[in-house]
Amino acid sequence: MITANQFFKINWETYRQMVIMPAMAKQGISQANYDEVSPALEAYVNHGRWIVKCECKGAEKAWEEGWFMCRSCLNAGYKHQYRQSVFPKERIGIEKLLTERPLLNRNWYPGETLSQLKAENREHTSELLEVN
Amino acid sequence: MAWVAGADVTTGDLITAAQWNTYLGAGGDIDLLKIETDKIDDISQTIPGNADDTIYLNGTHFRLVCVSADLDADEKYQIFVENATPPTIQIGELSNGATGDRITPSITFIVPPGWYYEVSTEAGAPSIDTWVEWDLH
Repeated sequence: MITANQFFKINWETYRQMVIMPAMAKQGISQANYDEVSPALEAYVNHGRWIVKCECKGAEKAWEEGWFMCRSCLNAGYKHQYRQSVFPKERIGIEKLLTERPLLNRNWYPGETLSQLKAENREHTSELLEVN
Repeated sequence: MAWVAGADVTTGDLITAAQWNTYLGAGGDIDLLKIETDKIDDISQTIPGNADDTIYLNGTHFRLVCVSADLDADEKYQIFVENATPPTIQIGELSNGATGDRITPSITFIVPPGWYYEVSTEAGAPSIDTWVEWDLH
């Protein structure tokens, strides 16, 4: 599944310096600290992308480094600090099962089990892709 | 998340023509939602002086009907609403017990456009106290 690193073809720190910091400066926001106290946001899969969603309804592709800055509100509810994000423990299993599906059906939300994903794949066998 | 899910938009995504047209294009979801919502955000009230044991035909809007009745002991009205005449689908009743004093209960029911409705005497000789209607449009 696509992460922000794959999509933007850079790492978090480069993105932070090249994109986020200028965006915050343009809004007159002083540079952010890292919020290592608040609970981490859980990444989920939607249409083949790992996504982290903000309470303001903005969403970003998830970074492997586990940091999140909403480009819609710039984490306004958290004093514009960078927030933690986390992938599920079953990430490898989830990705393996979702890779068999067409792009629009590559969806997983926290709480869904690998068994449920397998069952859905079985229900839609004729729609699955040939995966090598 | 189910096999099927709507698409969340994230920074860097292209909004496809399909996504735009689904929600915002001519006949898109938001367009249709507004049309449907506009249908019922206004109401108009009438006090038609309707009578019991008479079949009425609703017009072109959903109609809320509120009826109250005076019921002595053992008296009963049944309320019928159906897209046929005479309406035979009972949707409620107003009734009093065998030894009850006079009561004045009320019932509010909805009549779809083009349907028939009737407040029908089932027992005794009850009488209509009030009858108010609101059309949603």
